[in-house]
Amino acid sequence: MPLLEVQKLSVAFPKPGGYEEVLREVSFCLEAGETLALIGESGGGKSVLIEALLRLLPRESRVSGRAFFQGRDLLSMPLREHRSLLGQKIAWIPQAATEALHPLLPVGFQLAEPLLVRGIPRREAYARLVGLFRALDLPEEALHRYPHQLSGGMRQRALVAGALATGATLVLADEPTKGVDVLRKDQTIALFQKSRVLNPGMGLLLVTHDLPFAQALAQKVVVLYAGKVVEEGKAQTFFQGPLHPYAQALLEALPERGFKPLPLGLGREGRGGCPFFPFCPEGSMPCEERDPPLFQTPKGRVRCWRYGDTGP
Amino acid sequence: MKIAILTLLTPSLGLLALSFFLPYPRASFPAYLPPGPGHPLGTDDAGYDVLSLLAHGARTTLGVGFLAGSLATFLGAGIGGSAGLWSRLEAPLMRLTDLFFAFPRLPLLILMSLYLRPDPLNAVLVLALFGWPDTARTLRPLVAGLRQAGYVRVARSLGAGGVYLLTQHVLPQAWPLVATQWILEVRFALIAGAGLAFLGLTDPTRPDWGVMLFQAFNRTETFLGPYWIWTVLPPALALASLVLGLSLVVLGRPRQLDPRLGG
Amino acid sequence: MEIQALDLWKRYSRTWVLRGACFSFRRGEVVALLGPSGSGKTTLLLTLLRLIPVDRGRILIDGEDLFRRDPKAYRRLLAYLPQHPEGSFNPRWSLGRSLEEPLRLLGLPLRRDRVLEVMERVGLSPGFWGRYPHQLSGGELQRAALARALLVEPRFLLADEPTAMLDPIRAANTMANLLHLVQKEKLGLLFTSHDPVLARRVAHRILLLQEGRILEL
Repeated sequence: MPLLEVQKLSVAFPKPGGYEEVLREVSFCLEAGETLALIGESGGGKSVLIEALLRLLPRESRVSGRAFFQGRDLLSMPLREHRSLLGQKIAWIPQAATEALHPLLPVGFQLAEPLLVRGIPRREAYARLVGLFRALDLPEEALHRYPHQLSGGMRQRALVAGALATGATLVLADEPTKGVDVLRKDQTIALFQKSRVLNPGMGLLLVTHDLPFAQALAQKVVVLYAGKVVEEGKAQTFFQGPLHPYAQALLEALPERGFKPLPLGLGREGRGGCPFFPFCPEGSMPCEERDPPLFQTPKGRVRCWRYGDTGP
Repeated sequence: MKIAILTLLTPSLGLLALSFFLPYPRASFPAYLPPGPGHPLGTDDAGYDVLSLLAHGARTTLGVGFLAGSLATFLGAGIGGSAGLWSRLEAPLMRLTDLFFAFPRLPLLILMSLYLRPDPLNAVLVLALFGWPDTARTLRPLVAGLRQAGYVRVARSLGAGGVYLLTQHVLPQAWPLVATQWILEVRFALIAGAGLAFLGLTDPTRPDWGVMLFQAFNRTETFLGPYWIWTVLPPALALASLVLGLSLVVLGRPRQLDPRLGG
Repeated sequence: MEIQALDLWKRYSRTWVLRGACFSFRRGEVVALLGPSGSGKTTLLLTLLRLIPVDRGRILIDGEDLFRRDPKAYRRLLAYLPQHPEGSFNPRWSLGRSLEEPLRLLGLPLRRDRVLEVMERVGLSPGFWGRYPHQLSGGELQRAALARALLVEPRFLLADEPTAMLDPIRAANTMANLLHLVQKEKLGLLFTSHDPVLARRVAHRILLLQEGRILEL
């Protein structure tokens, strides 16, 4: 049984004149002990997916689909049951570190809270945090500081430490390397790898657009574009050669590779056809009119007519 | 919601207005007259007209409440805002805030009334003097966050001074928070002031809703007969409706503790 | 035109963030400033912008302490591009008002046609004038910030982590825009980053801020 199985998750937010669909029938599986990288545009709904799993979306949003965590649907289980999982079996590393931390409380106190609530003695909770802080090159005294006294990168690392301290089985990491420099990024990679060893069943859902970071940690990659899954496959093959044109553009844009810009304008809301078509260097007939389904290829699944009935 | 708020707030404001039309209450009528012609709310145990008492009492009760609340908010905003804007002031001002925050206001009020003249101004001073920390604490992170905001930095890099920043960028953003705090402070001061009077610690000759309740509760016959209907209910309902109205106003406004406005 | 920072020292409470940092760069140069997070890269930028006073050291333009003589002229020379595009505009102001602000603050003539022209140069149609920050995408806000910076006709752009928050494609786009403009207008660009690969790709020179000092790589 997969650790996390998301089935046709859709999320829409109300906007004047209707609803805006942010996620459309997103499905994927994360096995125990696996790291899955969810990549895509900034603001493209990746964070929304995590928030949906955590049931943190505003009440007015429309959520449909299922998300099975160890066989139980997170989206329909009673709130109390869901809440008991958070901070214990499911840990969250939020993206906006500034918002995630209470400005009036010391950092250590906040990070220790989920542990203390579960009955872990203070000394042990703080010991765990100190150890993790050290691994991420954070001074112990940072535990006693207030969030605004730490730099952005330090806050992000503190949140990573906090999540790993819980020993959760499923870690939802939302841009854990945002604002973190290269040296500390390597330490973060090392820390996640070590955690996988210490906590073998730990599944890591990594939402990021830091592709080198994803490459270092992930076994599986899922690419989101315009709210849909456009590619899914094994990380190794993906980074060697992605299939979907958007994913290809994504990798080509990296300074490590081509550093090629690609002017992305507004999407083609409601105009039918593949949403990437206006920017796709390979677009052709069916692309303009019909949105492709996910095709299965030996290297993984792709949502692109190039791999359709006409063959890869 | 708005209708509910208006319904709840109108009586108090109406009574306040009425106080300018009704004569200052004098004990010149027979006691315990039930509501009727000439005395819409009857008279109390000493022969005062209840409506007059209620109207003139509104002056004291509301006066203390709004004055103390406003003073507390003003002080708190000034101190919290300064602490947020000037990092050098932050530490000392916040320590000061913590110091004053530690003093519980109600016990202090009670103590104060035992040693000082029972003057409403004293109550206002104590309430304000120990009430500002709450606003200061809430405002400081907002302002500190704003200092780091991209647009504030850009303005500063172009030579914007403290006054410009304050008036153009900080105050408009901080205003909703300060307004909410103000309502909360006023609410507390109202209850505190009336409560103090109710305990008999203020000047009983000054009309006040709390005093009215104090007098009523001090008489054994109040609840033995129907007298409480017009000696207890009017001030109690007046105060309750005002406080409830203010509470509803606050509920409708999200408290903007948003450090996200920073970097 | 050259900007020189000589022997900058800056302390926050007990810690010295800058310890005798020295560097310089000219118009037309693209310089990357690298360093671990929290090392003071932003502090360095802010001292150049005169937002933070230094405890010791001097900042010269072409050998002269221009700020002392004419602060407005100095301020006009350096434009700041903040790190988070979402936070770089007052949420209550329309874009037009925000764009005009630098002109107001520096006492320059408020000519709407000029503003619209600069907006167009960065790819924002005149319709954006009346819009509010929350109505704009991250990319549009970035371009708006660029427009605001260019309006005063600066000679140097100081960009704080221009690509930190962006996905690879947007990051490449942003840098392409920045570089294009820098080349066209012969501006000096100093940007902070913690991506050494990006720096190597894009910059003429790379500076590393380590323990308060600058090393040139």
